[in-house]
Amino acid sequence: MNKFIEVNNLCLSYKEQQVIKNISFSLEQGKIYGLIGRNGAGKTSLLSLLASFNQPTAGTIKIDGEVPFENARIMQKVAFIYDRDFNDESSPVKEMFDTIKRYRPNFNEEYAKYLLDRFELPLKKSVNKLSKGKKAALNVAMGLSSRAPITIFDEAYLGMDAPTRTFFYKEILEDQARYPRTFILSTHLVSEMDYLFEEVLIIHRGELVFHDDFETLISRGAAITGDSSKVDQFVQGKKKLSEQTLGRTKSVMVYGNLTEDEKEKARSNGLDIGPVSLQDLFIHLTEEGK
Amino acid sequence: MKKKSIRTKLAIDLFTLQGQWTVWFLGIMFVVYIAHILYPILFSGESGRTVDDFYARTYIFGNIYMLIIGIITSVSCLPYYVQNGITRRDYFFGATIGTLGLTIVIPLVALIIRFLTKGIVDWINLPIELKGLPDIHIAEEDPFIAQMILAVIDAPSVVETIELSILVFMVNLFFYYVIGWMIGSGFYRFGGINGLLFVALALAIFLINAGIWGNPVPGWLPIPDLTLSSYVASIIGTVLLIFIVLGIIRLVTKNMRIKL
Repeated sequence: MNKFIEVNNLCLSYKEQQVIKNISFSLEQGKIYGLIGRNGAGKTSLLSLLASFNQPTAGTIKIDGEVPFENARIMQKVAFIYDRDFNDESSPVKEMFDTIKRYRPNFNEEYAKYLLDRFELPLKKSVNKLSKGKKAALNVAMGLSSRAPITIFDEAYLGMDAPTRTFFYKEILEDQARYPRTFILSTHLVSEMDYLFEEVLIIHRGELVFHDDFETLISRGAAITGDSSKVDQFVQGKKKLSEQTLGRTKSVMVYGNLTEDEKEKARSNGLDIGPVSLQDLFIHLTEEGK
Repeated sequence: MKKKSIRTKLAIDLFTLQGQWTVWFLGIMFVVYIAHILYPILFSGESGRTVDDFYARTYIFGNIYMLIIGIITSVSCLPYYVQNGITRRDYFFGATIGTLGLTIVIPLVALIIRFLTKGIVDWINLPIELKGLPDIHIAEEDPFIAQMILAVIDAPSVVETIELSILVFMVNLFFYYVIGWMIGSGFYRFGGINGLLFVALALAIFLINAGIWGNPVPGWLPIPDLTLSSYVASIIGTVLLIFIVLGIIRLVTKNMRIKL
């Protein structure tokens, strides 16, 4: 495994409050990572450390073998796109792209034009006069067209309508295929974006509670569907994540791997076993009190 | 090699951005200046008035202008460039060089406008007299506030030779810019109350500079008599202060957190 980003025992404190608690992980080049966590879990703090917006209180970060903070070679490679309000940005849209063109070595003008066109962004309009949705689209267009080897989107979709978000997700996948890079996507909208993730990191209260590939994560649970009474009988004693009932049919999400015997038993009782959703697992892993 | 080219780009960008603001600043100053010359002549028939020339006017207002753009760029440009993958170190050097360029251009433009206006005033024989820098006298026994205001707004002036005057003009503009940069950076990094300490520090540096140029400094302040023997020595004194302020800026911004 190539360790493109290596994080060891990372801690970050603001005055008395510890927001990142001893986090360690490594990420490979060219993969799409999902970083999920509840509000205030420390996602943005972690990402701002990766982007050299801030320095860790303790622990180390290495990107491409080097400490990124104040390292021109590495900082150039990291684009951190977060939910900015742009209210003080009176420059026209075009000027924002002119800056990226000057300072991001992998910036692709043609691709930027394509995105500007698709997002219907007016080049001459001042950024602070754009609607919330258009500002988010501009932010995303800047991030995608920079083609930085590490591109971080931290809830950059906020304010976009559903069709625009869908287009954004599609572009991540398509441009990733054309121009592979490491994406880190931080989100609340787990159910909407889960298909993008190759690996998932879940952080909760400043700690990394899970990091593995998407398939491994969702195999940690199962959805049992079938006759209500048979389902109840089958899931007895198991950790239930959620349940839905429709007439006499019931579907229950359970946490924990099923043994081959259990799977066989379920089938013989006429029960369906399906994958659990990342959203349900996320809710379970980050429940209050955990 | 690459590092150099990033700093050059930054220097050009900062020069261009601040240059655009300066065109507005000088443009507005010029319009007000023309109105100041023409209004009394056209509407009250006043004649024989003396008006300070454009160069002298820019000499005074340019400093406050530089102080303001120093503050603005420190809180807006550094975060903007870090967001674009630029290190704080590269920004520091780029902004310093770009602004040096600006401080060279402003006095020259002011001088050209001065010659042009003077030429036009003479040519159409306007009944006014253009003069150089106003002579402000504040004595040691004047109130502290008066001395303080003088220390901040009154740029040290040299009127004897134009070359020396231009050099002092340039050094002053840069001095005021770095003071603004220091105040803005202090506020950005340390917030409200602690940021105010940087204003206090700036006032202290202004007073030291005033002392260097022979302006009165309140006796009760622990500032020794710094009056230097010649203009050249005073210029060197201000340049040294500039380096000290640049050092403070670098210390404050070196590891500065970029706010989201």
